[in-house]
Amino acid sequence: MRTVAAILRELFGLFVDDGALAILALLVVAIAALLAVGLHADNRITGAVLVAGSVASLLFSVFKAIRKNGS
Amino acid sequence: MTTIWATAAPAVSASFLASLVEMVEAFTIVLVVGTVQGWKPALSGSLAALLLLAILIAVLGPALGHIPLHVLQLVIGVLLLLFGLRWLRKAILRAAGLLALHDEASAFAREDSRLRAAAARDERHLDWIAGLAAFKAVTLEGVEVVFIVIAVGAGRGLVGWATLGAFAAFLLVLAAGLMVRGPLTRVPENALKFVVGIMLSAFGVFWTGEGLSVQWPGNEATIPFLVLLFLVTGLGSAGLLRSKARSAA
Repeated sequence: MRTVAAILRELFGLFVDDGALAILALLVVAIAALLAVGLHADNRITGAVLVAGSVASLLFSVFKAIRKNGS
Repeated sequence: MTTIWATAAPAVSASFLASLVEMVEAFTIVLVVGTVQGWKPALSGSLAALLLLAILIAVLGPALGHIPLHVLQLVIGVLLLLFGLRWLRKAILRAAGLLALHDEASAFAREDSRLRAAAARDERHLDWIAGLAAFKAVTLEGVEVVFIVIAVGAGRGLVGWATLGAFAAFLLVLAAGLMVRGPLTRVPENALKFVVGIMLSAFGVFWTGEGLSVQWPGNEATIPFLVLLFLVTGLGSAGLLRSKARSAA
């Protein structure tokens, strides 16, 4: 049972390591989905939000790790 | 043939490189089990894990065919984005010197002492503990391989090609393992993880967009552009962090 729990915990960890990064990435997808489905925005805008948002989420998470490390 | 290969190449290479990293990690644990406790628990644990993975594929494979393509692309895209960004973040922090580099020799030593300590505590169940260690390692790394193969292949019907990439990685690790008979420390895992993080993040953005009906300029031709963007972001931020750390020292 402990092995199954450990496997499930590690499976979750495959996708979520830094919680803030996961939340930001999901937020970006939610905004892109709102633009595409809710507001029927030009899909170039949706694509741009997705690309820029993903890169921004990554950079935020990386620089947050540095602040945490005190560098 | 050139057109098929041009479409399949990103999926095959992403699957090959990601699987290579995962299989090297699984190989290290199986090798420890084989070395410490013998090849019977190592191989039976690994085979049980492979059987579980085969069942998973047999169940998931046909089920995927029933999911509408846009939903499949969106779900896979989001999971791939989370998975890829996580890998890339860690790779950047490793390249910048803020996280310890992954090292198969120390992974081997860690698992070796863990197994020997277990042997000292509970000798009766040692075969079981050792087999379980191999089972867990092959299952976890195998699930990642299965996910990557499905994720990079399913959106465009390229699962067969992606499987080919994973199988090539399996054969390569097996051949290298048989030759080296030790942890595969010379595989540049950290660099590979950087590249794989970039590729999976690019695929994640692409498939999420496809799932949301984004018409990417040039369709799949956008993937190399996304790869380049994440490459520049990754190398740029790692370089910036390294120089900040140097000037702070």
